[in-house]
Amino acid sequence: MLNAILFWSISSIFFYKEGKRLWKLKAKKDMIIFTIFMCFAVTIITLHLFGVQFPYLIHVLDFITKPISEPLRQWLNSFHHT
Amino acid sequence: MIIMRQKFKKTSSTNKRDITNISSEYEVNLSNELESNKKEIYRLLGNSSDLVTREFQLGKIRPINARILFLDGLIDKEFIQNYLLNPLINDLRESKSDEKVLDVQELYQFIKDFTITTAELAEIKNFKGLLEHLLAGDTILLIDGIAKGFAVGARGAKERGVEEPTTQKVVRGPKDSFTETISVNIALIRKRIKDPNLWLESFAYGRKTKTKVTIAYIHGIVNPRIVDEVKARLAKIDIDGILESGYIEELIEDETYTPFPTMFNTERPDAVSAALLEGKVAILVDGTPFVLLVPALFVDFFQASEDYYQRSDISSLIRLLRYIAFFLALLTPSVYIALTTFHQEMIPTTLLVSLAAQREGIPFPAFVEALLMEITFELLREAGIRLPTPIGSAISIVGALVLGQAAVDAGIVSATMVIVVSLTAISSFIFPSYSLAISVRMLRFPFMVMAATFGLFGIFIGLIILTLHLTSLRSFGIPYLSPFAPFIAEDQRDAVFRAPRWAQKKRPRLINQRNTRRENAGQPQPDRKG
Amino acid sequence: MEKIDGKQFTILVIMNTLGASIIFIPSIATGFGKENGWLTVLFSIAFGMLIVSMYSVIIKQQAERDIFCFIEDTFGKWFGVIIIILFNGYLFTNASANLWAIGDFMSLQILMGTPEQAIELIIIGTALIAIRHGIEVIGRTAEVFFPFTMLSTSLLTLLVMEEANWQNIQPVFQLNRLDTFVGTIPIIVITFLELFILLGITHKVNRPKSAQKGLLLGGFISGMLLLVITTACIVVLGLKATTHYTYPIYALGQRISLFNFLERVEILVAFIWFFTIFFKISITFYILSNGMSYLLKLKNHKTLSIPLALLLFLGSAILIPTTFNVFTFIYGPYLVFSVLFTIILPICILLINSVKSKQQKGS
Repeated sequence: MLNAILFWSISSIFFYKEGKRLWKLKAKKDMIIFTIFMCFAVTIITLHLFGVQFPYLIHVLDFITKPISEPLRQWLNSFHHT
Repeated sequence: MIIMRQKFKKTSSTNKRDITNISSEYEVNLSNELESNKKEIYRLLGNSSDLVTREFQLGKIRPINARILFLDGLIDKEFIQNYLLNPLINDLRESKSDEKVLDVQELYQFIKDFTITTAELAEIKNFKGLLEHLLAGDTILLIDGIAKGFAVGARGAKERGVEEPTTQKVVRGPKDSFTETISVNIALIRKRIKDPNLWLESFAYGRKTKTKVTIAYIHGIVNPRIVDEVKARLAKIDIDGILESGYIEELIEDETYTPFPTMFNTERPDAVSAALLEGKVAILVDGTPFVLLVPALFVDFFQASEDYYQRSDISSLIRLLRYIAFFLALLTPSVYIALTTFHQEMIPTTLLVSLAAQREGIPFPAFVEALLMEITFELLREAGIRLPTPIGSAISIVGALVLGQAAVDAGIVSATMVIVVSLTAISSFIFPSYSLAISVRMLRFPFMVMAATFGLFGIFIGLIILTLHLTSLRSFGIPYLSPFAPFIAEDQRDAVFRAPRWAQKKRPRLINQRNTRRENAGQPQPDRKG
Repeated sequence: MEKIDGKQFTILVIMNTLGASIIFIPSIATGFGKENGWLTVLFSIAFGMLIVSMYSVIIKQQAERDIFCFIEDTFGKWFGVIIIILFNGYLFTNASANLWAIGDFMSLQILMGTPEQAIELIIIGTALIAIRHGIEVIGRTAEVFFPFTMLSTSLLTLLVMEEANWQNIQPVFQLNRLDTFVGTIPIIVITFLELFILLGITHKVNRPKSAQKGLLLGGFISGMLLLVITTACIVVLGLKATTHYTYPIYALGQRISLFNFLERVEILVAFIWFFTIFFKISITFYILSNGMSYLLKLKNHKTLSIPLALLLFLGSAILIPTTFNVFTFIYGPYLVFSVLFTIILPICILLINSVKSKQQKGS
């Protein structure tokens, strides 16, 4: 919980600072996209901090490339001396 | 809140009106009548008590009223008596031209051409010019019946003579330093560089103080873009008063939020001359002995002018020592914290044992201990500067000996910590430039925090952030960390090491891009035949 | 318009090549080539230089265009966008993998007890500062730290040389010949192939010629450094130890003893690795944020830097369960992705562009 509060306060400072900078630049599109990305990042990290277990990235990548990577790994491991 | 803001708005608007009113009042031309001119001057100056005036008469047959006005204390009275009043009152009465009666216009011309014998003389036509001259310390001469006047330059305000520099001392090298008077300072530079290409441009800044600010550079060596940049930035200054060159520095520097100085200040005329010869621009401000030099690079703050008067091997070693001192002053406490808290295995065993024995009775963690001692030391140092000299030395004895020893004996801090703090303190005094020493003093604390949280890794992170910041700085367009980053091989001859004079053939490349050749001297080769 | 010069680009190339690899290469090389591990690295350099020369041809074709713009020009609007999205995914994986690697190493070896995520957070925060200052500042900072990195590397190898046992690299190329060759594949994947990413900053180099030169020279120098380090590991630590340590070079650092006083300076290794990988993360992050802002047609790459930093932090946290999985990752999916993005993609680019230029000549 403490971590989450710390993270929120840091990211809100970032959000305020960057938002102010973009506001001054009058970059409307940048502002919107920045807000969307920021909300997305903050939400997902908050979920992570509250203990929601996401699938590990390498498992995802493994799953995608399974047909090629699995035989490849076996082939490489056959040359590997442990 | 709203009311306050309104009030604030109102006052600011009236202030603006004030300024415009007075300046429009200034633009009024002088009148023909002496008495009304005098009254107007008194009114404009609010009947100030230091305004002195003396009325007298010109000529014998048909005397004309005249009057001098000056501000007490700003002029040389003896000079005025001998070279202004004497010729005006006595000579004019006795001169032959008085045989025929002159009309006022002719008299005016005659006085200008033949009577006033001072070197500085200016004609004034309106109150603006009159006040400018009067406030600057000139003596004003007004003649009845004519709407013009003279400003006679006979300034004689009390000023400090040229003395030894107090902040940047040398063992070998010239011992003169700048004073508070800008004309003296300019003369000190002119005395060293006798070149018609040493150009000066003067401006007056400060609505109220009208401080004279002069920029000096050597035409043909300086990069004109830097001069233009300096002038453009100076032109933007709009402030009521400038009392020291620090005002100018803060108003025109590249980056405000940085602990590092991006403009160099010195009170040594030889340092300024050397910088001018490298193609830098000097900014002299009336009223302070500290002259600004731009562009200033990081390496400049490690270079004392004495480096160039000593032999090159000696000054190279001393300079290397300064760079080491920079890291010592910056990192010693944080490395101590990191090693004792996180990386004990890196300390040799014997040393670790004695360290552990010392720290046994200490109630604080290393970070708190270091912070305590560093803050105590900063307090002592600040107190030492502000206290009157006789007490200052007493305080430093109390601080250094009594407090240090007592703190160790009382078991509040370890003896090693006292050594660490002393090492840091001594290292921070090594820099020739006070402004860099301050920034190192400040930066030590964040590094200590980093070391307390992440050990040596935190120090590395801190160093990366510091370097990122330093490389992002620029001083008048010149990268602050050059010639290290961007790396310029040629300029390494005067960076960490100083090559012999004859090897430094070129001026710094980035500062000065046109006229880079400094000398054609070769290595001295004595004739060995005999 | 900020620019870096050829020298800075070369330094960044070296930092990028050494980045993740310097710590893993010795154990991979000996794992395949055994006593010929140093030959494996040597072959990798030879093969790697070929690939790097292919990249340098692309730099020439790129002609001061952004790599993303170049991809879009080559593949056309729609297909280009898809490739850029995938390429950004590759960059994201790469950056968060490096972030994870340094965080894991630090929390296991240097700062026992400090949570890995705290270290990752502070590194990505520093990288965020770096990329917000821009490529010029990153290049110059790399220039400042480069001499220290090189000094540490040479100190590391020189100071352990008295313990060298040259029997360890013999017999030279008698046994395991095929294995020695196969071992070049994973080595190239985590060294030279990743240089393709650097094509994202070549348009910032003040002369395209010096970018080409820098890429080749930097690739060669860093290859040589890897060769020296691997050889040092084998001759000092021996075969078994080199293969079994996850961080053999760190074990090498632990062997340093100077006059029986300066001991356990393995922090030197951490120092080398930390600086190189920091610049690698910063550059990848910089190109990623450029790529994202190109994709979304934003005014400035800075806009997305903060959320991307947060996402990279998360990416490093959910990348990999434990250190044991790292080789499964490198030998499996990472290899496939690397080959896809850094060999097949450049070849496609070269082919399409040569066909295009022929068509132009014909018409």
